[in-house]
Amino acid sequence: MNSKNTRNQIKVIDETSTESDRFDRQKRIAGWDQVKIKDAKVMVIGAGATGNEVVKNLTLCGIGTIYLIDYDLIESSNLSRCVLFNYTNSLEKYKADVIKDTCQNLNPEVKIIPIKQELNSIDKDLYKRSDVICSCLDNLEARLEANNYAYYYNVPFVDSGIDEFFGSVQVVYSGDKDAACLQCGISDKDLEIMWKKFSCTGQELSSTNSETERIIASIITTTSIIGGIQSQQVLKILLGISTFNQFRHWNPKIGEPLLGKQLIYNGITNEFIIISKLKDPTCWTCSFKDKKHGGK
Amino acid sequence: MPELPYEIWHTRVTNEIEILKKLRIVNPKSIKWYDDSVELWLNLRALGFIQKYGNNNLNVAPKTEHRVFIKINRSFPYPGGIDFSWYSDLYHPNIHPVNLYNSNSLGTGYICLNILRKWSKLSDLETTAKSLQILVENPNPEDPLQYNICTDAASFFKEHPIEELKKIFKVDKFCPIKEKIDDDIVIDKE
Repeated sequence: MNSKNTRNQIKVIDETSTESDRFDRQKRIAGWDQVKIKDAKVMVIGAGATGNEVVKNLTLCGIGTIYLIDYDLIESSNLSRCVLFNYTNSLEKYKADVIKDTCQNLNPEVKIIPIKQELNSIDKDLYKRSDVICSCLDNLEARLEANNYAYYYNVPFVDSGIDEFFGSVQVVYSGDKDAACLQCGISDKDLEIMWKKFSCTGQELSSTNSETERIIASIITTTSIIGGIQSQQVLKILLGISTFNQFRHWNPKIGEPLLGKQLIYNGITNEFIIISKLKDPTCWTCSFKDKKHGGK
Repeated sequence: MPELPYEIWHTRVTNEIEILKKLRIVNPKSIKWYDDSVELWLNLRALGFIQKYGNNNLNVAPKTEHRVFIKINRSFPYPGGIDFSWYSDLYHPNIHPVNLYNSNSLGTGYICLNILRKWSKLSDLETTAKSLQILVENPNPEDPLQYNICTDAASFFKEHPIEELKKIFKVDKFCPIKEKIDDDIVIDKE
């Protein structure tokens, strides 16, 4: 209903609306529905480099509400790749608070709700209230937790990862039962690394195994590419999910998101590769009702 | 550590405990559910040995009933979600029981078994309980825990391999791993 109205409105273009309507240019995209975007509630987990990009993009697009989860303070080392932080007045403040203030200037209509808690202590109802969940995290544990709850509450989940000139984006949604979740791709090696992190002090890890180092090399160019792709997935999901839930296909004008697939960006060879993720029939999260580990 | 949503966690833990109940190695009365954890006691049947002075010239005696305390946290089945402690007395290089023969202080309850630390995607309570039974019957004296009693046991089992002890005590029939416990579930030993 909304999409028809919007399309009609766009066709009648008078001179004042082309200049005065903030979202005029994006409303011209076929299949766009600004009302859906305005009503959307997006949860962004992590307000680091990718988180900045995603929140900035979503704010400028006109997303209604953003729940921003991050308990960290801004340090000087963050400033090289965070567009919403400011050298003069952001240091030693909460990332979520600073982003909220800056985004109010970018788009006063956006409602950013900063939640300064660790992911495992947040109110689980937040997952249910969100339309899309974005993870912009730097560790596997929090990613899996977000994946598990998003899958359980049937909320689409867009995950992203950054490493130097490489990046990846993956979409998980329980509405498509054949699509893999993040837990499906976890190997025993990952579990072993998680266990080492959990039980050791961390010193021996960084010297022996570079995968387990907590600090990841990161550069603004890669984060903005990946953050851009990730926010695009969020918009695609918001605009197309009602069609998908009803007719089992995505709106062809908007295209389908990377559901059950992973996009890998290789900045060294300038390549984008898309791989299909296989669903694990013994997965703890998404197959718990079918298999021995879950209900019989 | 990440956690599964409560319903998934609860279903999984319930199912795993049901399997243990079928195998009759868990005492159903011992299972205690709390808000975010479960505690239970395993009654394992496996051929182990305890120290017993004056019993014979080896000063050991066979023991086939063992008690292990398990605590399952909310982060189960992720690593660190489950704790095992060995309670009943046992003379074993890789197990340091809480209740020790001839000792006033309590032991740590540590169990040195790789699969307890390297929790894999396919690990579950059933395989873990079975591997504990196998560990009791197959001590590894090459890699003992660093407690006096354990290093002691290591040198003892190096001198007297388990096959030799089985012959001396004629306890092959105690070995429960060959027993057929349930109609459809058979614990077989490779």
